[in-house]
Amino acid sequence: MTVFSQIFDMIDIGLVILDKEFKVRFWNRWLESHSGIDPEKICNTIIYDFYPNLNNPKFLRNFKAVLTFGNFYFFPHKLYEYIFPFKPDSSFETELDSMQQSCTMGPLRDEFNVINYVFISIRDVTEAVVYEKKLTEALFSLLDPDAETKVEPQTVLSDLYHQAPPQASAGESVSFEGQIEALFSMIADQRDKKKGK
Amino acid sequence: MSQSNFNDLFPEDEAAILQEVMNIAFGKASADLADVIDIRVILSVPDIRLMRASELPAQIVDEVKIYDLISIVEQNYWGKFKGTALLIFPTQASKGLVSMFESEQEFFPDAENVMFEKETLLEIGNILIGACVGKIAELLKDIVSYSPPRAFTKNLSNETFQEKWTDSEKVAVFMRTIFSFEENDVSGFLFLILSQDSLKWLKTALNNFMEKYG
Repeated sequence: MTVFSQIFDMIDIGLVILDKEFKVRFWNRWLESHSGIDPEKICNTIIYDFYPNLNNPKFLRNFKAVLTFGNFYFFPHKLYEYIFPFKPDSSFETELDSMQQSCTMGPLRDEFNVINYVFISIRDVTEAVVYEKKLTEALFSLLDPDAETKVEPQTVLSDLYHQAPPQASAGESVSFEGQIEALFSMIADQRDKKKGK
Repeated sequence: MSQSNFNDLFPEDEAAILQEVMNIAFGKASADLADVIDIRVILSVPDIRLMRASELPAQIVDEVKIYDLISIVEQNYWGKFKGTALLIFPTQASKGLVSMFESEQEFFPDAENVMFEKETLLEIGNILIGACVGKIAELLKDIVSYSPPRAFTKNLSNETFQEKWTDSEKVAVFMRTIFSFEENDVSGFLFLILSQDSLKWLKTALNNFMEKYG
């Protein structure tokens, strides 16, 4: 096995390669593990036979664009929470039934620089989505104390952090403004972490 | 940097070759876009100039001042041909753009209208930028990758810009074209800003292009 082949199977990312006829040409070990489908079974079959949800105009248009222009398509998570319906990876139950995925489609060229294949990479972002959801709920709860579905910010925050920031964890009375400030500070921190600061 | 040194960095004849390359690339992009998104996109003859990076914000603000509120799709591309693409159009026109694909919302029943519109805008921007940048890179024998596009609604005159756009010691190749969707009466600007890092390669690539096709 070449070094490159090993990398494709060792990385913690799903990787599938499709040809122009939507046939699966490569299905890495991550996808095998999460889907339960052997590469031998899915390779050389049309991807829709296993995942009919991909047979929609938006996917087809962007698949064609990637083949034609060599651009990338970043599946918007707000529209596609996932493109491959897998169970969440965690041993512990979450409120989400499916693994949340961040997926990108891009071109692959042959030795003559002709685009004959596209790849789709799949990252598991379930934890980040749960995290963001809880922060949003906490924020809305703080901004709208009369909301029917009330989420206790302190409960959410203690769920999220073992060590809450000083403003909210000293056991002393914290003002409404102080809680908002703490929450925004954490949202900013989270954003910075995502940016890799 | 003296004005003569500045002009020598990217002389007029090289700008003329780049303009020709972009004309060919946009012609191909327009034809292929009709096939991919089933809509004819018209791209004007590009205007090309070398500028100091610090002059870019004022230039763009001046170009788009005819619009009250603008929508922007920003996307970075990176290969040897490396820079930033900005697709800018009046915010009120975005509805027209989105209407091209609104029938597809049935495939995303959980998506709210506002979110579907934003994602559709990003998708159109991604394809249009990818088509134009990809075809230019292809003609210049390069392959580029892309960062995810971002969408904003802004009044640019109130914005502050990142350091890469304020450095008076750096230069950038500024390419401007006007795009319009024939069937939707929607038009706007596509700015391609090529970073100084690409300038040396660009000059060689343009010379190679002329040797082959000139």
